[in-house]
Amino acid sequence: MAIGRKLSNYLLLSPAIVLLGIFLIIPLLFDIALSFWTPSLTGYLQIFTWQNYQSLGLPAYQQAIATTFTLSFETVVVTLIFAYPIAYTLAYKVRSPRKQTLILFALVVPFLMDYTTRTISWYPILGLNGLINALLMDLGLTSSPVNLLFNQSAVIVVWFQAYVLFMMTPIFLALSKINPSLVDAARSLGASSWTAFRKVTLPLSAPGMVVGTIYVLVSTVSDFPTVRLFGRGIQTVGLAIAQQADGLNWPFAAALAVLVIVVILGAFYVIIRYVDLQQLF
Amino acid sequence: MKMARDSRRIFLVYTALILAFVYFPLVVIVILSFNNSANIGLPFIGFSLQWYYQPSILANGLGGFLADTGAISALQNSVTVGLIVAVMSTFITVASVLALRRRFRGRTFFFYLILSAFLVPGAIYGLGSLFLFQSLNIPYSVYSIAPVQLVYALPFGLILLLPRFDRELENVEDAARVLGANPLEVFRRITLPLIFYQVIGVFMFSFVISWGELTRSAFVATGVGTLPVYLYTRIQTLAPTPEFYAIGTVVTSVAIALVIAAGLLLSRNQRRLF
Repeated sequence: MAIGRKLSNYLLLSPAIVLLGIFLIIPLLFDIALSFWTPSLTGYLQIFTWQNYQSLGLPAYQQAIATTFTLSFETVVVTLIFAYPIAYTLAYKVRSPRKQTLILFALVVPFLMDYTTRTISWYPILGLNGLINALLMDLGLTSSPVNLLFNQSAVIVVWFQAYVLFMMTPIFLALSKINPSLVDAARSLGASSWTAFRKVTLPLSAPGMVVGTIYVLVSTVSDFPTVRLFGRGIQTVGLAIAQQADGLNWPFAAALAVLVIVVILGAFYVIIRYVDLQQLF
Repeated sequence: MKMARDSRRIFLVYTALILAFVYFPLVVIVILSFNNSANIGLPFIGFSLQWYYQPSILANGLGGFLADTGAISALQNSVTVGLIVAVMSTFITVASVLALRRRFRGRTFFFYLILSAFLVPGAIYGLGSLFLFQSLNIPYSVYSIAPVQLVYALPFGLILLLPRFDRELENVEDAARVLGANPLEVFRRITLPLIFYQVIGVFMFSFVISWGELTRSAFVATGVGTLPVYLYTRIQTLAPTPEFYAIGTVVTSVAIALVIAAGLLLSRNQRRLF
């Protein structure tokens, strides 16, 4: 019976294992292998080289790596600051579960919209003859249109819209798991509501903030279409990967990919040493 | 007491403001998709449906969505891929969750394996898939996009379905077992009916994930690809026209309708989503 049960578990998992083995693990192994092979006009030759990693040191790519992590970090901070109060509202200020679900779904929609549409929907707002410029000129704050598109702030605004949900949801989950009597205990021992929040609620919601941070970080690091459409001239690692892949310099694209994976896994490893993420599930 | 009510109001207003910020651009493009002007910005000149159906007059592709053959075949591809992804994701998710609901050696490993598609940045995964297809000489088609999107859809399905297997559900199953039902009967007559709405929710969610996915698909799609790929490819070569807004309006309406339907199903009998 026990053996049959164990077998049935693996049998049930086998479709997922086969799919992920072929279409997730093997592609990642290809990334690693190609990063050590030699570029050629048709893609790659299976000759070992360190050259792709040496190219990562070129000033242009150092710049791109720095820009990528700065942009992603800024997006994480902005989404965290704005998402936390929403999660708090949802967890403590909205009582009916039905309304909670409704607000959650309202936040899901922008992410599920077609990617390009979501992105271009900012053109009529931030563009030269867009809404904000019309408003600024009506108010007499500026005489000629200001270019609000194609800079880092525009990229962050678009990312905020796309990913705020993914910061909010895990924090909401963490907050709803906090036992309310802990806060009550702090209050009855004389803590002000702000102190109780700072010393009890905030630390206990850390796993949620961590999961949200990881998701936003992972998504923005590789989100090249937004950068290409909104950050004209800004180079990020994700965009560089897409461009090198288009230009058939696959081994170099692979080296960039391995670099990002190593950074993300490193960050993940450090984080899970301090915060137990399984609490969330 | 009054203060508590005030603070509640401040929090609710804040949430409403963020929602407004997130939705504002959408409202703007829906309005501008009806603009009688080739300009993608303001002002709104007059109401027109030209960006939805009018055939292209000029050679530069200025025409409506329904007259744009590229957009139409991209739409067909999107529906095909979406259905493949949704069907397969539903079956794989249900099978995986039936195993993962139990405690056994390796459970944590498999749980994180499925979730790890969240941890791999899209461009890196897309690039690896491109290498895989190239080295096996698999030609790009709508079918090559499907498994790539499927890997991305699975963690969402897992998160939606796994929490449904709570204590309450187990009690009902145990009751059926005690009354002499065999495992297959328990699944067919008890488990499946009880998780049915969540399963439909997984189906719809997976379809919508596939419907809007670009970062991964862009690496393994050629030709018109799916709608997001088509739009993204086109916007890089041609100046956008309000046709983009028209397509965006249609695509978004479909996604919103499906998400609302899924939401209604998932919140049936007052169950919490998470």
